[in-house]
Amino acid sequence: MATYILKRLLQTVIVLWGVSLVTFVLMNVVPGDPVLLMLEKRATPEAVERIRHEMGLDRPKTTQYFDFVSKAARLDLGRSYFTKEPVMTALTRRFGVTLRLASSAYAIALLLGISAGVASALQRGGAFDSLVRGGAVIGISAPVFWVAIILQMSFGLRLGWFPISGIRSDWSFVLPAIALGIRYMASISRVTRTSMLEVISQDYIRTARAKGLAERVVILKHALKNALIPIITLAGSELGNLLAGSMLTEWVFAIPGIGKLMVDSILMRDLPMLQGTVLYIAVVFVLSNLTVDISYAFIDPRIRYLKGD
Amino acid sequence: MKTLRVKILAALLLTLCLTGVCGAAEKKILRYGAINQKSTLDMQVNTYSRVMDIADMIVEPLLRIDEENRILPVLVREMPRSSEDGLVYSFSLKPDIKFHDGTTLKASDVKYSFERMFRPSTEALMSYICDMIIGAQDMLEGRAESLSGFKIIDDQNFEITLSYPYAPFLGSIATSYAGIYPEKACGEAGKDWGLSVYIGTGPFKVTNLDIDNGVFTERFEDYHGENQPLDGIDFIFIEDPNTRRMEYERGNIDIMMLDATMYPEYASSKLASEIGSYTPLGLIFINPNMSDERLGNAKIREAISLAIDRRTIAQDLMKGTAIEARTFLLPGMLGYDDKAPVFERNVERAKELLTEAGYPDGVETESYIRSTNMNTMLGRILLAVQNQVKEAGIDIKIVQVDSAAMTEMRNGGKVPLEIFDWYADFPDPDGFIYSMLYSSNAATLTSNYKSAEFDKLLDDARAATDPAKRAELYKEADRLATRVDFAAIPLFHEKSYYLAKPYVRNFKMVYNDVYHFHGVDLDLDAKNR
Repeated sequence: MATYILKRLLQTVIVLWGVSLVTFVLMNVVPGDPVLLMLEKRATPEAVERIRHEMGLDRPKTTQYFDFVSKAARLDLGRSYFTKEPVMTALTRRFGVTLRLASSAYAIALLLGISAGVASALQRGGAFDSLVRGGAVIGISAPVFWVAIILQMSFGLRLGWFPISGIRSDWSFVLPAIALGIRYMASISRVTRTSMLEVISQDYIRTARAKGLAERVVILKHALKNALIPIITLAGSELGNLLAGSMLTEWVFAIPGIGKLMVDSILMRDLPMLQGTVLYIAVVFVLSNLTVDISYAFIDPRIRYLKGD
Repeated sequence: MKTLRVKILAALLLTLCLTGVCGAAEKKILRYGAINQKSTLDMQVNTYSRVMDIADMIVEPLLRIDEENRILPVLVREMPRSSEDGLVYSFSLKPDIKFHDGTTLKASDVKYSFERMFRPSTEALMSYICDMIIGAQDMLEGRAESLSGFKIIDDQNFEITLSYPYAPFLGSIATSYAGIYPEKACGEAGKDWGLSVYIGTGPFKVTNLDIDNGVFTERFEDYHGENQPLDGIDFIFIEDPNTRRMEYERGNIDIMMLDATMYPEYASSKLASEIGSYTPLGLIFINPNMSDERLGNAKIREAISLAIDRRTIAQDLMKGTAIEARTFLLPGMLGYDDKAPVFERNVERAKELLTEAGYPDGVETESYIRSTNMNTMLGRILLAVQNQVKEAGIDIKIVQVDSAAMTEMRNGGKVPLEIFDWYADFPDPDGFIYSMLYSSNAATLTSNYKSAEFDKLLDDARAATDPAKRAELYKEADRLATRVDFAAIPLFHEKSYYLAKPYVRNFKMVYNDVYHFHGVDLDLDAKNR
């Protein structure tokens, strides 16, 4: 297992290098000069040349790239072209916000999604099952910004129960977490339902019931545990999505997270900030996938990683 | 026993009062729903009006421009004196002005702030506004470490010498870009200046500078000027306009800007009585590229001007929120010709001009616009113009591009036609018409207007010290650009709108679309009713 983890971590380095190279090339290929964008309507040729020199953008592209890589290896991702803030500082701060939002949304999605999925499977064809299935379709289909605005108008503006925007207290995360978590909750409930339906028709569940085990033990210990593999696969990839930030939720609720940081840096051609956020997202996805793969072995003892896997 | 109870109760009440729970006066904190430009507050390295809203309350320049476009002394005892040749300006600082960190303002801080603007490592964006100071060019090009045209006489007095007479000099140093920083604190903060540290002499000092969420300030008790009624201003960043409106309706913010396109909707809502308006020193105009194969022909440019029905757009599309433009210069500005006639609409004459230009069957061209602007007022006006000029046989294809690409294409002279909104850097024609249409500036702003006659008029106006002479020169330059060469096709002066709660008192806007809070007060009785 240790060898497997080490190998996957080494692969991560290669993935990150590839991601940084692709990002750098793309940002230099698409039209849009960051210096012109900074100077906007006052971009005289002299000013452009002066600022470009100060920012080191007049050096050869290869020099710029290798300079970036060597500094990145020392966790120095440079400074934003626009705010002049160190990229690592901005990422660390934004990560804290995104982590709080993502973990709240994830908790909502997992707890309610799995509970609803299990209950729905156990009452297959019943009213509750129909309600969960219908709700899941709506939850997956509803655009996140629409859900966000409805929540803001209902619970923020009309009832005044929660803050409308910003992150001035823990309560500020309630509405954004619900808005963000609903979609994931819906997909988790659907997968849980399907997986549970498959498992509860197995012989060993019938045997467990025949042995006289309490229904709670049969469902939670035998059925749900065996139904968890597809749920974990989905939950793992969704954790990556959540930690990568949600631009729309962050925009509507004025939450300064990673997603908005990335979109802003794309629009402003802020290459150091963009490379930083892309690398961050790559790390999040690689690590969340690795965590999912490792967790398989703990949940299902039949799965073992051998040399060469 | 009863006496003991009374004593305990009295002690409790006294404790509560002493700890401020009982009878604590409500603080007058103005909450402004601001837009986050994702920028440092350092005005030497950004040009955003929305950052000026905040920065101007913290850092002050030597002079400032008030709501009536007058230049007033701020950090100096009186308006600076200039030598007869207009080259040397003498300044005398007010005594004992304190920065927010408790240090005293000295002439060396002023020199440091100007030198910082010209030092290449600062990457300053607006150094051109005063690069006529002797030695500025040497610093900008890395040949000098200090500003030779800045002479410190003593801690209070200093002189600035220009390399050529520049009449609008005092206006240019009255802008936010020429704010005065404390040498020691600014130097120590380095790149963090404006990000986590920002200190000035202004009426409010920063208590929390959070570039993600907002900037929170409190009144500076040692302020050298008139004491401010507010205890503090919270600049709360909310980018989504709908969210901003909800926060306003809920009473969580007291004042916010309003996009002009949203005005009709708001004007018919319950918020109508809380809408305020002002006319910033700005112009919306069609900016044709003079080096374009077709638009290089003045007859085609004139035909476009003749084919536009400005009145219909102002009244119908803009719902009366725009003022028809008659000149490039702005009403109230030096050189504005208040006798200039309105631009007429004459489709038949436009068609004749196209025929004379060799396009009897009509002409096609392209207009580029930022995709983010397409749904704003600019996009709507462009669509209306496209529709109107079609009648004269002019087919404008609208191409949407992203912001960065647009700037690059414009700078490369690849944009044939553009709708432009242009605002004065300072309320002098030099900060408006020169920065847009003078040949060296027009080369990077789509237009590529090159007229030796026009340039000479502006050069003469820059150097002239007699306001009447300057006014005549600018009036003539304006006529040449808009009615002879059609280098710019003026459309409107837009009105801007904001929402302010009825208990916000004394709020006024300034010339450059910046929210200033000098003297603003909150009527707490009205607020709590």
